[in-house]
Amino acid sequence: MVDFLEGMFGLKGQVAVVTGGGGYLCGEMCMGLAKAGCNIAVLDLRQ
Amino acid sequence: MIKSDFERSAVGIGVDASSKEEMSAALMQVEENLGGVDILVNGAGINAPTPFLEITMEELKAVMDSQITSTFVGCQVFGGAMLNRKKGSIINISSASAGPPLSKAFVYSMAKAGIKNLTQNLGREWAKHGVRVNALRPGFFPTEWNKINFITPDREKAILGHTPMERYGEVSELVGGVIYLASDAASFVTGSELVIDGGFSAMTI
Repeated sequence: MVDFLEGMFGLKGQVAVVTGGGGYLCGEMCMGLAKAGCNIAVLDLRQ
Repeated sequence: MIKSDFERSAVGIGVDASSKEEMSAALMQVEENLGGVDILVNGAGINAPTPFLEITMEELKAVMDSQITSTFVGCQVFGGAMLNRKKGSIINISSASAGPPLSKAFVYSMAKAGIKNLTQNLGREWAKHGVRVNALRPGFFPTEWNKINFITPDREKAILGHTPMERYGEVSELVGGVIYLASDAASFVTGSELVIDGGFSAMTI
């Protein structure tokens, strides 16, 4: 089942860019994408 | 924090998302540091509760630029790079205010309607080219600061009275939708709006 879910939802090694990633909602999205296996670029005015 | 917790690579880049020059530079920086971009979340944007007749041209432009222009530029710059690789998933942030609109959020509602419109148009435009474009449509996920400074007891009553689950969303409840839209599970999904709102958009009264 782990392989099945990994095949469907896994994002291992993918690169994700999140604008506004320093904010409340998008910060959480960054963490979620990282936990799913993504490498993350956080783009934000608030550095 | 992301790096130490999960042993992934993470970079932070200071950028005005509504500037095509800055976003183009950020794309180059990301490609150099992490490689080609697979997923884009266009999440930048501000709001203001100003009464309609008091909204200044500066505020109109600030909200529109932060929401619509930044989403447009994100799609153009990063979407363009995705098209070259014939692969990518773009997630824009719509809102329960994208239509019908939300009181006390005039420009924000206009902008969100525009983001929904652009999402459909690019979903259609790039459907055969490997790049999917979808939107999340969150209901109410107020920060503690917003709860204290913006949401009066009357407003809270109106919001929760119109939310069948009768509560606000927790930010963690957006993550599943983001992962779904980003992943192969959504390989036949484009131009769509994924509603995460406790039922807000499903009811009138």
